[in-house]
Amino acid sequence: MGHAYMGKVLRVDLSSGEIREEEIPDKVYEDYLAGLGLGAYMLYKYMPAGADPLGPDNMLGFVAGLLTGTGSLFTGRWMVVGKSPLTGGWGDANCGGTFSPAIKRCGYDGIFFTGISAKPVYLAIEKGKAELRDAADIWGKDALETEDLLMERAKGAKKPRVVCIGPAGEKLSLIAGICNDRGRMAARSGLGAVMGSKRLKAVVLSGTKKVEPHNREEMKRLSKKCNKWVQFQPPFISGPMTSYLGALLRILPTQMAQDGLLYKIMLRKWGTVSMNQTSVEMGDAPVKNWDGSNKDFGPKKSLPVNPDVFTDCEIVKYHCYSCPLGCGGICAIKDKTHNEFSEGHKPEYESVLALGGLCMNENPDSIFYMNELLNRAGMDTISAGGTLAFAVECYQKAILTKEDTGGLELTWGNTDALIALLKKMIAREGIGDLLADGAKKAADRLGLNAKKYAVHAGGQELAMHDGRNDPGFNLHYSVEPTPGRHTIGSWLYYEMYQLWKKVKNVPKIGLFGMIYHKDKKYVADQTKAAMGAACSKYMSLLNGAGGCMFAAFLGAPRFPLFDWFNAATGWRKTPEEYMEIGRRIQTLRQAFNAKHGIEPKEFKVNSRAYGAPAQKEGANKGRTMDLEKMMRDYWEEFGWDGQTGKPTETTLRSLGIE
Amino acid sequence: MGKKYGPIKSGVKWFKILVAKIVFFVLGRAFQSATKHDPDIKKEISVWREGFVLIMRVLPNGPRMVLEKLNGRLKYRGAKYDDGDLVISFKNIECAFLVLTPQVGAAQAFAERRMTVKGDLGNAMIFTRCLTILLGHLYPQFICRRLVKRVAPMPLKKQMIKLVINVVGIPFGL
Amino acid sequence: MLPSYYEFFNPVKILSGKNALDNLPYELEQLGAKRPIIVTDKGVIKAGLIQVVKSAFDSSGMVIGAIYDDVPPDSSSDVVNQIVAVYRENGCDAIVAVGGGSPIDTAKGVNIVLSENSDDLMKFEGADRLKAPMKPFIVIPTTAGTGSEVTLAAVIKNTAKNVKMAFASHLLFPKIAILDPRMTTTMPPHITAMTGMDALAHSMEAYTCLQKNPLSDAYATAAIKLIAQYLPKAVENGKDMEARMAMANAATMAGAAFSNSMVGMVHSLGHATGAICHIPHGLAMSIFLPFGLEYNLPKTEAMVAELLLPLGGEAEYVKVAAGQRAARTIVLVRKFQQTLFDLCGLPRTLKEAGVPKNKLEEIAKTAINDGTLSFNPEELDLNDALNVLNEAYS
Repeated sequence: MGHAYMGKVLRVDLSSGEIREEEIPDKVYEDYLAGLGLGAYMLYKYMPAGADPLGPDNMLGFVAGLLTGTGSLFTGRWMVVGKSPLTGGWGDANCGGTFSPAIKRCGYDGIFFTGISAKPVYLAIEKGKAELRDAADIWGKDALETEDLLMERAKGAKKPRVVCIGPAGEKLSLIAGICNDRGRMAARSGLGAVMGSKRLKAVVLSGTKKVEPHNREEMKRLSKKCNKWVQFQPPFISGPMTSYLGALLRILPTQMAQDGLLYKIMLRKWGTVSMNQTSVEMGDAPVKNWDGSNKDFGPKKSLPVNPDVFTDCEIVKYHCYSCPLGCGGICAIKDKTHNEFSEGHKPEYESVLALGGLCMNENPDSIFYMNELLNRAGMDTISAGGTLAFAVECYQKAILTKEDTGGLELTWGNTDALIALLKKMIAREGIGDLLADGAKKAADRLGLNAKKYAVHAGGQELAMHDGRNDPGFNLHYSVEPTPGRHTIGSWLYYEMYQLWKKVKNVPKIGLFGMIYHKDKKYVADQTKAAMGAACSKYMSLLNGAGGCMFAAFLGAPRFPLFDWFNAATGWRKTPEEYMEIGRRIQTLRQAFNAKHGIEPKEFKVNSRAYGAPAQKEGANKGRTMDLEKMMRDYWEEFGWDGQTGKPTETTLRSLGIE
Repeated sequence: MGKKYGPIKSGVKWFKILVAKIVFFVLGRAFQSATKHDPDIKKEISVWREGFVLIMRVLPNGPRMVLEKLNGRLKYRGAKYDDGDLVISFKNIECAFLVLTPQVGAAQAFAERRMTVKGDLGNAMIFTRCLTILLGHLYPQFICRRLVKRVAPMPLKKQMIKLVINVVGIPFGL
Repeated sequence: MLPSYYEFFNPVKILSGKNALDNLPYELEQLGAKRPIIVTDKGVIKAGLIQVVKSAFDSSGMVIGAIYDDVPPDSSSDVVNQIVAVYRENGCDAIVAVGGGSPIDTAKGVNIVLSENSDDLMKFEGADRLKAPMKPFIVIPTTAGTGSEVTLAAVIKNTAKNVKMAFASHLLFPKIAILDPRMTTTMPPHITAMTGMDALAHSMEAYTCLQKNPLSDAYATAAIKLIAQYLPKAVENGKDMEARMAMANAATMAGAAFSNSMVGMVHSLGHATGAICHIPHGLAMSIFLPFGLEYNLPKTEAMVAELLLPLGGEAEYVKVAAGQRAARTIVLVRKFQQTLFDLCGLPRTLKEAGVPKNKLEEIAKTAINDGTLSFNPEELDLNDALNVLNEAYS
């Protein structure tokens, strides 16, 4: 009878070359779970304050989730943790694919790297032995080439899996990510640059250890029940019709609390690209560097990227480990203009909008092309899109001239210029060197009020969800220890999580709350703070489990996270106790930020993103919000100082954090 | 016998004076009603003291509109007073005609030096803002667009106020 | 494109150049004056500039009726009344103002009270209220500058109610303005920078506000051209006579421009900030100028694009595509601010100028009631003003 976690982690010192195992006491797992919580525990404990994110003191951790490999569904995600060079504080990135179980098959819950290697190396674990091997011949290769080469080398090993960085990480671009599965990426927080600074090119894992859940039968039973909901897939509208869905959502003055089952249906059919047109029309997708609206990118312009376009060229559907839904895919790239790639990972919603509507780019071929370029370079598509849009706006406002851009005319929708600029960013050439570290750093260096056009939170470019449409996004962009993330919470997500059906003491959306006037979304009150806090805690738990956010969308009654926890570990905690663990994990991450000198107030998003001034036309016309109050309420909800946002001594002590 | 040279009496522009008188009446009643029903206008004039007198008139001896603040709202007093705290004078009947039959906005008219202002300019700014809101109540959007710099949106609540002012306020002075 | 109707009036005779002051007694005599009162402030005295004025009277046979040098930095009605008393006591018959905006405005106030034969300045508050012919009035500016020597407005504080009163009338123009380079050489670098940016703000606003007309445009662009070229030189080397002369001329032209075409939100915000946080006028203008231009851009884009030529020169104008010129102009204004910051530390943001963040709301409320806002091309309500202030803060 096991307990789902492996009980130890691997510590690698790249400066000295020393590799050793470290046992983790059971209590740590009970307090912090595995995955994100374990990562937070390790980093808070071992990283000295003031550590240089690109220096030897930074600790980079690859962690698997508590539930990975136990027989639960949707729990195959892995995470990277480290101090972010982009925001200066806690950094983490989350990725799906097949790497997560590989970590546990090697017998570890996580692998942590410190120090800096004198020469490029990669870590290989095979047959229970871990060693650092020379990476001189793969340094400089793009992420897909590297992975193919290393998989070739590992032929014969049991289920080898590779993560690696591309040229962007090697060149220390602060928006670089860590790649795996030939096109998936743990992209945010700039952790690819951390890996590059350590001269760690890749990690290759192959192992055979088994994960032992406490009650395998119960796990199976819960999974079978959950799967029934996932398989429920009624017929749905066609791709181009999704724009009308979005328009309808925009025009109605009231809206309905969402049940995530609708979203699951769309995800299963198309993947995340299901939302392409809908989001633009309803005002969820930012357009024209957050200054435009659906009026600038109407149905005609968004038609070339409607969901059917992506499924029409899909060669094969792709499921991450333990996921029955399968929202990913490999697409054939029929791009005639560039003719470089024949296939690539299906672009996700975020990539399509960041490289499309945000830059007013209507050309779908270019989106496939740029997506593939970025996947291979190992650079975050959201940040790249945000930085490109920033550059275009600076050019429009004459802060950048043709001289600065090396002759490129950065006008809105000039696809060729965008592609050329992107290539410069990847190579850090000319103006690309200025932009390769993200919009905030570029704006700081340009001066001249360019920071008005850099839409970010604490240095992290915002995702393609407009907080002027759902203020919850703005809240989480601004208060999360990793700012700028759309994968934690919002009012919409809270509705879909349906936590009140399983957890006591969270705001309930009853029958009469099902339909409400849109104005209610913008009121900054205690309920909203409680909703935001619940989202953060719940996602901390999910990230501790290695779970996928799309699973959470099924709703707490259909996605039995708490029951799986208990069945896998043998614990008998109530949902409220788990939420308290979530609170602990979140507080620990915030404490990390406080320890490393971050002022939480400064993570507030750029004023354009929260409607100061409000937009004059479009779906979010006239919308603005009291973001500072929302932030204060959220911090107080967690028991942190309402003025500074830092965890108070009392809270830290009550949660057992030193 | 030489030619006789003598003075020439100037004529009177009856029609335009009549129009001005009518519009002053409508405007005065509208203001009176608006200060009771429209919260934005109420807030703006709350800074004026009790007994504040506002006069809009046509030089040299043309019709005028007098508004006096009594009991927290502006009352239309016809042509009661000669002088006041804020006096806006159109230089001639032509200027008044252009502004009152809304062909030129008040801000534009002031920019073209068509009227003089006596009194604190801060009060004049408050009055201009109230006038902008009021014009939104009296005239449809396509006319307002030419008169003011920015047309304010008309949510349902404002439309109700507009109805009250037009149907009850102006004819009955309520 | 011509406005449908406009009025332009600039009756001031301008004497500009080397030793221009020497003509002072002659001009006074032409105006029929024999005993002028000189209105000035302690700063001018300390800089030794009054000596220059006094020496102009040598061998002229004229008697200076009195020198009133106690004008405070903020002209007030009390001071006006005092000067009126001194004037009457000494049997003066002309007013000569020597100094910056404050002595000049005070002198205008004095002229109102004397000529209307009244004792209460308040009675004439507002626009176009004056009727009586004014006493002979000459202005010798010592800053480059407010341009008050060619404007028809005066702003004087009502000491009793502690509010600023505005007076505007065509009769307030001085008869003569004398621009002698000796009078502006003693300005220290940061004052030079501040007053120079004041002139730039005047000309740029004059070019873009509601009463804009071809005559004021001509003055405005000429002023901008001189300022772009000579202000950094004047700040760097105070003794550069050519630069000082150019700036003095530019300031006068800017004054003539905005006096006839009015100014907009940069002044509304500047007045409010000055009133509440006592930031010097020129500094507030410098900080708010790029933000004001940006805010009004939807209505003024074409005009701002035209300003790229005088501000940046032909090379810059040709380099930039037509659609980007307006944006480039604003970028150049910011670069100009940066240059001045590097030369003499002139603050670029409200934070650098020491304005506390909690005052911003109060400033916004005052700004929207400022008369100059009515001439701004775009509407500005409380929220808009607050947004601009927040942006200008850091």
